[in-house]
Amino acid sequence: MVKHLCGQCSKKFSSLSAYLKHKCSATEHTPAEIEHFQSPSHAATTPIKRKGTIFPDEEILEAIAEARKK
Amino acid sequence: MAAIVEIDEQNGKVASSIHTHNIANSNMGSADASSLDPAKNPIAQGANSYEKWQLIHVVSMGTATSISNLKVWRTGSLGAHANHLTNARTTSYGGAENFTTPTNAVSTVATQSMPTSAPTSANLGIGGSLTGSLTSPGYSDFLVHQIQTDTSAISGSSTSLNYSYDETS
Repeated sequence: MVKHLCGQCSKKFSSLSAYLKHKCSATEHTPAEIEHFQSPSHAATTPIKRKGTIFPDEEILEAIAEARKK
Repeated sequence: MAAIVEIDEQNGKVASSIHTHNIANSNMGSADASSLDPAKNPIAQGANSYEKWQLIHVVSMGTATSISNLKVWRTGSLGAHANHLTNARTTSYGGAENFTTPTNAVSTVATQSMPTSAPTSANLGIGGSLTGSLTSPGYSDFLVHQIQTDTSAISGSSTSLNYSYDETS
C-alpha cells in the first residue's frame, strides 16, 4: 500500500485525497491553494506614491499662468 | 488561475512504498530516499546513485484546459567521470514505466544520457505517450534517472534538474 508524504511538512497520509486536503504546517496552505505559490511580496499591494511633486497641481498651474503674464 | 503542478517522488519497496509530494529537492545519493542529504549519503567512486522515480503531478488545473509537452533536462557541471542517465527521451520512448523498487545497480530503465539543454520536443510522456496530455488533475509517466560513476569520479560538482510543461488555457 502506498503511503503519501508531504515533502514540505513531512506529514504522512493514507490516501492522496487526505494529502490534498491537509493544511501544510510549512506552507500554511492546502496543496491545491494557489496562494501557496504566491510570495508575500506579490500578495501584498503597496500604494504607488508620486515622486518629485512638491506643489499641488493648482499651484503649478497658477505659477505657469503668472509666468506667461510676464 | 494557473494550474498547480508539483514534483513527486516514490521510494521504497513496491508493496510498501512512500509517495512524497512536492519534494524539496532532487538530491541523489547512496540512499533510496527523497530530499536526502548528499553529504551523509555520498556515491562512492565507481558506484551508482539509487534511481530516482519521480512524477510531474498536476494537483489542480486552475483555468488551464490542458497540460502537455513535458520536458526534463539538466544544467550545470556533473564532473568528468559521472553520467546522468534517464528513461526520458524524444525518440524511441519506452512508454509509462511501472514503479519498481529503486536500485543502485545499473538501471535497466534509465539508459540514455540526460539532456544538458531543453529538448526541442517532449521527452517525458503522459499516459505512455510523448504526445499525451492531462485535461484533469493527474500524473505524468514516471521519470526515472540515476547517476553512474567510475573509479576516477571526484566530488564537488552539482547539477540542476529542470522540468517544464506547456499549459493551454
